[in-house]
Amino acid sequence: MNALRMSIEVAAAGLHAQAERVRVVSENIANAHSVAAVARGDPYRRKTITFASELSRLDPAARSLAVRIGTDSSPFGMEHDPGNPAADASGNVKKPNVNVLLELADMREANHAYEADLQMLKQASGMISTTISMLRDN
Amino acid sequence: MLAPLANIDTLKLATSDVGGLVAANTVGPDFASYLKERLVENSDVLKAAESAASRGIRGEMSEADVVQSILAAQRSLQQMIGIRDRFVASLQEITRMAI
Repeated sequence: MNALRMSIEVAAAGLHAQAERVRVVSENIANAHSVAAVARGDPYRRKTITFASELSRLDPAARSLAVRIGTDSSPFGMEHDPGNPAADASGNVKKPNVNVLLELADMREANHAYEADLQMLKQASGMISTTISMLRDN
Repeated sequence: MLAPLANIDTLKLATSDVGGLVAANTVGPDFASYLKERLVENSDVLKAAESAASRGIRGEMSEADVVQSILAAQRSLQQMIGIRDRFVASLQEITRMAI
């Protein structure tokens, strides 16, 4: 495949990956206080997202981007809240292992990566357009 | 994802076709059929962009995909216009030729 067009495809894969990352971050933040629905149950477990390069489906010479979503196995927090329906016999409730500050930092990073990918797309697209405009002006 | 766009490489083909018509009347695809093929290819890209736009409005497609599709259509169209302008210009050049 044409190298410039391929770079547009790869940049688009990057856009998708960062969009997925923002989705995971928003899920984590939205559920930062979600406890179990039943007593002694586990609360929301933080989702993680990892990126890996994969062979492009369009061109075997290029590497595209794959997204894997997993879960964070770090321990849950504990809070004493006897009135909560999720509380155990001693009145403790398991809290999600989400650190909102960490999620916000991740979101900023996703935002920057998204912008970089957009810039890449713009650049490659502009280069193709400039080449085509050679036809118009003598 | 999209139908293959008219490639930059095809420009080479276009010019060699025109050269072929002028130099020796060789048998092969003439410019009209070449142009027709490219137009059909181009209309595929335009249709893809159109459906991407409507799917984007309906929220079935991500903005990034819609933008990518429309940019591809724009490039394809620009290229077609460029080739047409060049061809028309060369025809006009022939009509202006002193007899």
